[in-house]
Amino acid sequence: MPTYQDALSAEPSEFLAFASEMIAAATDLATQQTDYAAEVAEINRHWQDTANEAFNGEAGNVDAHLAQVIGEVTAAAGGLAAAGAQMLAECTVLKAADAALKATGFTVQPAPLVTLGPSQRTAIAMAGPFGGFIEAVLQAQAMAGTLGLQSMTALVNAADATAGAALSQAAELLKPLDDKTSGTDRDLQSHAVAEDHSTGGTEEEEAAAEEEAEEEPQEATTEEEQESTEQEPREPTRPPSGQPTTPGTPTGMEDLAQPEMPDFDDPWGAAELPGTDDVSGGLASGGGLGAGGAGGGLGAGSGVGGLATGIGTAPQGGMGGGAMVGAATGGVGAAGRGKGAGGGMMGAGGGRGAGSAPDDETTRESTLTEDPDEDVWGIAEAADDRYE
Amino acid sequence: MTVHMDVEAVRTGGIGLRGLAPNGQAASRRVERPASTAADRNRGFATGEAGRRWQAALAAVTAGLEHRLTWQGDQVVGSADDVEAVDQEARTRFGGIQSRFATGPTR
Repeated sequence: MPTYQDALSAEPSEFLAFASEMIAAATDLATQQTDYAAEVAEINRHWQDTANEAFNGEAGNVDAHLAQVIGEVTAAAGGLAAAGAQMLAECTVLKAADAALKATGFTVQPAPLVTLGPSQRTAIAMAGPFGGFIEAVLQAQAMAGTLGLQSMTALVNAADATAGAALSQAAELLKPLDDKTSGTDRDLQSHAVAEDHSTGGTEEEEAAAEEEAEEEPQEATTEEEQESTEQEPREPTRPPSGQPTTPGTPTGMEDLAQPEMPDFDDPWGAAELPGTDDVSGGLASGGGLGAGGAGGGLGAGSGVGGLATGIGTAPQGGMGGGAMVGAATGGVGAAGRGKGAGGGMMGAGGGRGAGSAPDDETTRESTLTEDPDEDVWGIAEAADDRYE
Repeated sequence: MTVHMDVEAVRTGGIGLRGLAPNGQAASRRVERPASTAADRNRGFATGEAGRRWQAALAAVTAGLEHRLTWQGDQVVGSADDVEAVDQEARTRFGGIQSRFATGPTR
């Protein structure tokens, strides 16, 4: 809010000059609008496709924006010109009143307050008995001058407040267009460049592919959201390399489908018994005497020996050693260390044991009571008698 | 629908839009000094400071207009470039097909 002194020193004509330049600015924008429309029309004369339709939609937005800005600038200029003219008039009157009061000898203080000046006080003093009357008249004039100056100052303030509010509102109405400069590269890249469609599918397939491409960003977003919410890592479900998977078994057949097996680290590796206390290992490697006899009885009675020999695993081989003498001996012995040459039923068991079991059979105690000096089985003379 | 483009004319139009873009700044530059002078020579007046803000808002508008016209010019030139590239690619493709017909099938 301007004070009395501000109003006295103001140059409201500058507001008028400002308003005049506003009009000129609106004219500049109108020229810009005209040139722009001409350029767009020239482009449209040489271009017709859907991209051109999109361009014209965009050009329409710019044209409407320009028209709106021109209107707002013109309105602001008109309001400022009117307010500036009013303030100019009021300030002119204010200055004239101030000058008139000072010319008659009054002193005008910044309040504004009109008081008697030195020359007036001298005149009152020289008036003698009429001094009181003259002073009263001058005081009344000073009072009226003060009221007049205050009124005019208030008018200037009111005009300034109105003009300032209108101009501020006009400034808020000026909204710039959204800046699309940052997306220029992406927009340009989004244009479909020539591609060889000779290997492509039908138009329907291409349209579907385009639709999928449009949906990809959204899907990618949802996948990212899911990944962000699911903190559990995904473990691969593929079996370890080199390890065939067990085929599925029918429901209720789980017990029959998987025979009991000792815990080997690798069922496809070399058949080695894990230790001397293992039952199957004992049966297979229990020497050429006791273990072989037990295997023979079991294999002959149940017929499992045939299956076991064919499979060739350590425990089943041990059982089958007696039942299928020739097969078990030859097969296992050939794969092992050539111990299958012992011959006979017991030799078969021993051969299997030698082929796969550890060589610490000597630490196992035999349950047979026999005289070690008596060669009951005639194996003492064998060249590869392991008990020698 | 009809698809037509005079590539060079459209490219020239896009360049013309780019050249037209800065002209809007003249409007805000025109009122910059009067706004400042009016505010400086009318101290204490709210209208003076409001005039400064109004000029700044107009400068933002003209700047946005310049960016938008520049962007439109880029889009138009890019469209012309794209159409030219498509035409060039199709021409190359058909030229290759023609040369294969001329040389006959190969195994």
